[in-house]
Amino acid sequence: MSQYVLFLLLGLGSGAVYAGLGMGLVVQYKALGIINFAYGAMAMIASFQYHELRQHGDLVMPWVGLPSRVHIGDDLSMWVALPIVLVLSSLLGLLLFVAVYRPMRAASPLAKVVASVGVMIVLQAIVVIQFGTEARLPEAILPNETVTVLGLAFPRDRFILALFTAVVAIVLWALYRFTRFGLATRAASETERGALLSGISPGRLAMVNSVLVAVSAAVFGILSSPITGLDPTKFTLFIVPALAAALVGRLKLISVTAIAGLGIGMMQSELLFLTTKSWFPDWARSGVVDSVPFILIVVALVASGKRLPVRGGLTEASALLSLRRGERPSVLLVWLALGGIALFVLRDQYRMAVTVTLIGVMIMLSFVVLTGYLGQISLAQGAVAGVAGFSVSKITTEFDLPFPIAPLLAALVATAAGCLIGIPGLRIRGVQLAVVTLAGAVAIERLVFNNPVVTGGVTGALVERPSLFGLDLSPLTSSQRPSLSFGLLCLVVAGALAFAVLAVRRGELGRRLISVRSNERVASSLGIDVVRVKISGFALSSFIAGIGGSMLGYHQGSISATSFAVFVGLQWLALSYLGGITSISGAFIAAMMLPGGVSDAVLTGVWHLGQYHLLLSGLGVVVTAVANPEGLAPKIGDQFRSKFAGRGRHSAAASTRSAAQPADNTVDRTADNTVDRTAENALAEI
Amino acid sequence: MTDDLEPNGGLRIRGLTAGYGGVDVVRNVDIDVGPGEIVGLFGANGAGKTTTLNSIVGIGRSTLDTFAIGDLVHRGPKPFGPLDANRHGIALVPEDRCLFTQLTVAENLRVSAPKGSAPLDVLDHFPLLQSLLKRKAGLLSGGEQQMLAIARALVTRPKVLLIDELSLGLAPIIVQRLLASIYEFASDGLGVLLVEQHVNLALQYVHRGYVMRNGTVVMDASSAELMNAGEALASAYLGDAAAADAESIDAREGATL
Amino acid sequence: MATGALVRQDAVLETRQLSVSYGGVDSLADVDLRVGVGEIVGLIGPNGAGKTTMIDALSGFVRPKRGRIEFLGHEINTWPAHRRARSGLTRTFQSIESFEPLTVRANLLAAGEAHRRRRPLRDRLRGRGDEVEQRVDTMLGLFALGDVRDAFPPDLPYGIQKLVGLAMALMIEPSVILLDEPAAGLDDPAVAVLTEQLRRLRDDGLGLLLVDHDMDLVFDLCDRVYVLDFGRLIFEGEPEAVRSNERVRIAYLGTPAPTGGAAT
Repeated sequence: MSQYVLFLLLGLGSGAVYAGLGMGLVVQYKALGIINFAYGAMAMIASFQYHELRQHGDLVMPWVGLPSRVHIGDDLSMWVALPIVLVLSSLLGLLLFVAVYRPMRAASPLAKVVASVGVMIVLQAIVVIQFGTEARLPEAILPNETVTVLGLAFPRDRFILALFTAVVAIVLWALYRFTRFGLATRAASETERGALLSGISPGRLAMVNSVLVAVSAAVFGILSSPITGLDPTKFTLFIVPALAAALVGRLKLISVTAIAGLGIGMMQSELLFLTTKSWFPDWARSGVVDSVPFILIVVALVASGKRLPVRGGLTEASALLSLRRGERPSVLLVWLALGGIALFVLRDQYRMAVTVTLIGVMIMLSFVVLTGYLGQISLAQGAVAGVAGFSVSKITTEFDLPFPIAPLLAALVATAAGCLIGIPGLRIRGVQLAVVTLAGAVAIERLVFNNPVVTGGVTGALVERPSLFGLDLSPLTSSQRPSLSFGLLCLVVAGALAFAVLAVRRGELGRRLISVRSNERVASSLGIDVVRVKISGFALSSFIAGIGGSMLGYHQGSISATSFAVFVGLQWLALSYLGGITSISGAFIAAMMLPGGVSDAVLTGVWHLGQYHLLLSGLGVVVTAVANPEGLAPKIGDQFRSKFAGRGRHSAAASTRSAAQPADNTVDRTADNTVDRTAENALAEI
Repeated sequence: MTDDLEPNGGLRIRGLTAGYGGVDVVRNVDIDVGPGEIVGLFGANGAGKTTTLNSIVGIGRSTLDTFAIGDLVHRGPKPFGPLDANRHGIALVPEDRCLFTQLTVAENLRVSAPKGSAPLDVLDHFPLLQSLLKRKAGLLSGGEQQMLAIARALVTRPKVLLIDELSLGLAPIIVQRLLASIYEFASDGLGVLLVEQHVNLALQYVHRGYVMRNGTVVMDASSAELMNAGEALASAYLGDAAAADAESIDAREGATL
Repeated sequence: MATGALVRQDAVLETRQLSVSYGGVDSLADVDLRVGVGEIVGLIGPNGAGKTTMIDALSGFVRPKRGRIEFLGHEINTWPAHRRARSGLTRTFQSIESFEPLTVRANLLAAGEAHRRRRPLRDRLRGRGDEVEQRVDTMLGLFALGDVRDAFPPDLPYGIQKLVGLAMALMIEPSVILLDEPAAGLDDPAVAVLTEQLRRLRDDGLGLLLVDHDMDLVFDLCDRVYVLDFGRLIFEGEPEAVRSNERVRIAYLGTPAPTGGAAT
């Protein structure tokens, strides 16, 4: 009995982080109107900085390239190190506000998601470069001698953390309940126009709140890192249980969020304990702990999704603009020809990079369909591809089915998985869907990909070498070098998929997907069954991602959870956006920037800067999202057109004009129209 | 022509043009509201009344030639942004009120008041709200909400108060009461520009009125004159009473895009 | 211009005691309304009277609290919007009416494809001429949109955008169209074109419900007019009778002052 209670209370350690991060998410949503996916990473980087400062006396700045290590002194006490790191954190928060979140005020939901995912990637990359990927166990900060309560022995730090969380929750609650600043923040989050008319500046409030939450993340991260352990991945993914806590608190109630966060920590700890019991089913041992936040998120969104405070739904004007551009078969042929030539001409790691890029094209095409045409944001595409990858492993090894039946079957399994993931998408859209799919991806990664029962344990899941009609198509030749035949196979598959997507785009299905994306109401009023169209979109994109995942499986020969980790999926989405998520050419550009792809090979082989690849692509994503919401493809396309084509294609008007709103209309429409502009005015005031 | 605009302590606007997208919804409108004056802005839906008010505080796209507020004259083309409007002494009660529904009555007032002022003073004129200080704004009745919206605007101590659709969704008796309070404020020197759909009710309280139609001011008269305007007023709302005559039928048939 | 193919027979839309509530407030209360074959019916009322709510309720975007909606003899209260559209009841919207990333032609195609039955695989594979494409070409001609077929609606003049929206609605071969402020934001020449098109549709047998603030337009076009105030029907009748009706005047202008006001 006492063991159960013990583990329950041990969970307060991670619970405190969840609660702290969750509260910060709530404040950010109120003040900035964004879900900050990079928030866990901010806590992580502060923790690394703190412990480095304490252990070695070095202050590590959050950048690379330029000198970033500053030796402050040796044997710095907590009371010196902590304020230093907190100041840095507040500066980081301020920087992110000014450089990313404020300019993106008026951006589409997708752009906002991608921007914060991009920031997450950048922070992650910086930490990996500066500190390596190993997990550390930092020395304790809080006193952790055991304390005996009711006959049970607990480390004291858990209680202190829980108490600290409670105190912070109370302080924040009081701040937003009683002070003028807090009232103004709440007021501005409800109606920006009302705030402006009352002389309140939402922009200024947002700035102060940004700094506040940055410091909060840092404190919670630092204090709990000795308990949870410190490694880049784990901490960054704390965002998921933090989101669960914030959603239970309906993105509004700080106290509920805090309690939920602590509760999730305790529940996870207890579950972890239960998995050690003999009666616990084998298949559920790994990863069931991570399904808790996922289930909570789904329940919270489904139960109260409609009642979540909605921040001005802004149109995706520029994204829709870039969808106008048609696709030309000739352009695709050029891409494929380039790929083919590259395969013949290049050797070794460069040929492999081209092959990886071609596989990447398949993955990116799935984003074009799902997010480009249909407009749904899914952070779980990595998981979908992974389902195919692991399926193809099972199919080729256990059922001995040959190529091409095996990958097609695997893609069908992935389609089923993708449709399941898409079910929340029928009711939820935008950022909320992003949250659900992220949690789902984490759950699938832990529950399925990490599960030895499914994946075959340490050796990884093997994938038999492909062959067709006796022709050996294995990825490596007998001398273990990248084979031309496999590369050409990938070229053919990528080409086929690209032309298939082209046909979709030009045909009825493409029109239908785009209709639903651009205006669901009008679509319904014309008789389009929006639900059916969404399911078709998820199904098609999952199938394509499944083919990509299968080919990736063949390419690697042996796959593990890391092949399709959550971060991989996030990178894919971010790069797809960078390349241009609405066009097939964009898919090619994005694929070139994948880890292991062409740009990585060049960066590594030519300039020996391979370790910076992730960082650079992350920065590219953030910059693109902030400055250039359409991605690179349209820009590059324009360059070509102005150079080579005499008569430009139908160019979009500089600004999309929504059909003019007559004045004195029913209330909502006038309000919607004017809020956007006043928000921009407001933020320009700072 | 309108280059030298004399400030009169209230609000004066010349050449206001505003719209949405590519369409102008308000064209070259001039408005005057003197201190202590209650001025009505009337007209049917689509006439441009709300756009006019919004433009005065800088919401939406608009340009103007010159405007004067209080003792200061400003040149166009850009009017204020909403935050500036507040600072210069213009307050707007918008059509949808934009109350902070999650905050209490007292908090609504407190958060809108400039630092160091006593927000609750304004409640002297709204005794009904005194007993509702701790009630969340979202739970108030329609009339109470409108009262709070006005009080909240007044807390910023404006020189000119703009009210959009005072009576929307309210029973006439409540509207009467509100108008009476506004009358009291005007007696203290506040200028009021009031958009009101129910003309006959408003005419009992305004000193002057503008009537807008299709984006321009078609009538500018004292309340007495407007009360006697009868048919002219009705046609501004309900269209021209004259049956479609032959000329206009021909004109439409011949029209092309 | 005979375009009989556009319309189905016996088009009737009827409501009985239709009531809609938003958060405790009745935005529509006990409204009885009827749109018949080949007529244009107007729906007017002061701001906030419930006109757009009526269209939302009829087209399936808002659930009624009480009352029946009947269309072609079926009770359609529980039908979702797309089902109503498939059976011939559609609407236009006040704001953006079309799919912005698609050309005018693609917009019409999308609307037409939503309407037609599944194409047999045989026809698809043989690449047989799609009847939707032919209907699109006809529609482009009818509305004089041929020149802008490859343009994108947001780049076009507002009046043309509205026509595109109307053409899209017609692609689904409706029996009744609900028009939500079709003339809003249009200049006089554009209103004239719109009027002409609406009259033609009426003559072809479509039933039209027209909500608008432009009184001249409403009284000119409509065969009958309903007047709403505070969610209730206060008048129904010929356009001429509406103008002079006392209740209507009071709804718009308020009660006349009994004596001189406080301001004089």
